[in-house]
Amino acid sequence: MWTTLLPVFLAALVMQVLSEDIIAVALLKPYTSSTVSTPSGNVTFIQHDDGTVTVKGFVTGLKKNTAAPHEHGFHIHEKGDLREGCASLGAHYNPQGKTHGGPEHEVRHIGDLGNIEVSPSGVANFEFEDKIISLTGPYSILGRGLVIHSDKDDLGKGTFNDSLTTGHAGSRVCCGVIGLVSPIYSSSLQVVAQSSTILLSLVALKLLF
Amino acid sequence: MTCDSCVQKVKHALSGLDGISKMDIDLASGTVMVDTELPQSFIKDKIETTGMRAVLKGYGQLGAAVAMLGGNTGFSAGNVKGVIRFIQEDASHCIIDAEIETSPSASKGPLSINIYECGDISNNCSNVGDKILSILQNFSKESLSPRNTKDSELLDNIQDSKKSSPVSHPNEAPKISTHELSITKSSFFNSNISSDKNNSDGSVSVPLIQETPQGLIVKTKNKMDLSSIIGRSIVIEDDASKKLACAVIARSAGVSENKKSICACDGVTIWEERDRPLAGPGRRIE
Repeated sequence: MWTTLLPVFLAALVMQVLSEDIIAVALLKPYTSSTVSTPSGNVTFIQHDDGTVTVKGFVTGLKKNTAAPHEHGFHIHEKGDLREGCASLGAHYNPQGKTHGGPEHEVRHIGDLGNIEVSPSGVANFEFEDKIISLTGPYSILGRGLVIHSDKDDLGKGTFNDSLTTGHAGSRVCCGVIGLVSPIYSSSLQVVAQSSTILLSLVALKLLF
Repeated sequence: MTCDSCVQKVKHALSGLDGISKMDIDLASGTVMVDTELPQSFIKDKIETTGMRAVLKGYGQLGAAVAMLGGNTGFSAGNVKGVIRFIQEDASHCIIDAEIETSPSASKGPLSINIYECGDISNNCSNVGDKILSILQNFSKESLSPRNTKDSELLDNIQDSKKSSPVSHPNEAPKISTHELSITKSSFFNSNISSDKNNSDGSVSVPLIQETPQGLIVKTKNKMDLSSIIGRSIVIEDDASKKLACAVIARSAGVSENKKSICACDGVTIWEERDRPLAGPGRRIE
């Protein structure tokens, strides 16, 4: 699985990685014995100089819905503890004790990343930026859990009991631990670093002419 | 726990163990807080001998971490699996408690546990970067004997103190009891340079290695700050430095952090959780 995904992963990174960026990755799996549910993929976090974090992901095997694209709740959870699979990752990462919200809301959990859009065939290929999450400092998301839920996060706007805590996003279909990737030592990222150098020089040439 | 007799039952089940220095059983909250040198799985099993069920809610007060190696949670070669827990004991010391499963047919060569720079466990542990810290070097079932004179003496001392005081002795009793827990063998030997050998009480600074039917239990204390290794990876290697299993070092609940008893995601309680699938059909009973 990973070998087929890797080129996609690298291609996605090439555009963004600069030497000062801090990078983390989470490999997502269902962590159950069920053979029916097979979502898996990876999500990369790239923290730029200004603190903004680019979140890029590619996940396959999600719920199919031939009628239309659909959405799944996407959150960072407090723990990265996989002892009981996705269930032991704790609640949404919310060190400041705030109410659940959407990624663009003033009041939100740090871990509230909203929804990801899933194609009718069950594939999510997404990229967005977030200014709240961080890979450094006291509220670092490193070592915490990343979860894709079974249903859409209502961003706290719903009328369900759990709209204001979890956005009524349902069970956890796949998850992973956010791990640090060092641009200097990771073999896969050495390739990326070279590619980005080439990319940058091409841009420079274009400017010259 | 529903009544005082349950409290007494738990107290009785745990009171026979030498490795417990403090025990606090709270009927109101239904929790048992134990200050112990013993691996948590033994405590849990002991409590469950009363017929009651126990769920680990958290451990450590300054921070805790866990890594699940092999199985479906991390990469594994040759069916090596492990659960490695980290507890920050004070600002500079970390207790590491590893349960390692090896397949019966696997080579019985010595294993090592090391921390690597990156927490990227894709590509069969080949993207973890450089080794940055050594937890324990070259331990195995076959090496369950003292490695050098200093350790031999230490082992002898502990055995002597056991012989002379079969009943727990307040000041001199060893903190680790093995026969209470029906462990076939146990031994002590020095870990590598990163372990703290200056600790005067000498109790946990010398690693504990125990054989289990599935593999090994290793417990050691190292000079380490958990915050510097969170999000990196931990790797079990064989004597040729081949990576057998790896996992990302993840944050887990400390003793006082996990007050809730219901999974906020879907309302399944921590008790029901043991009997339900972790996701998918059957997880939620509508």
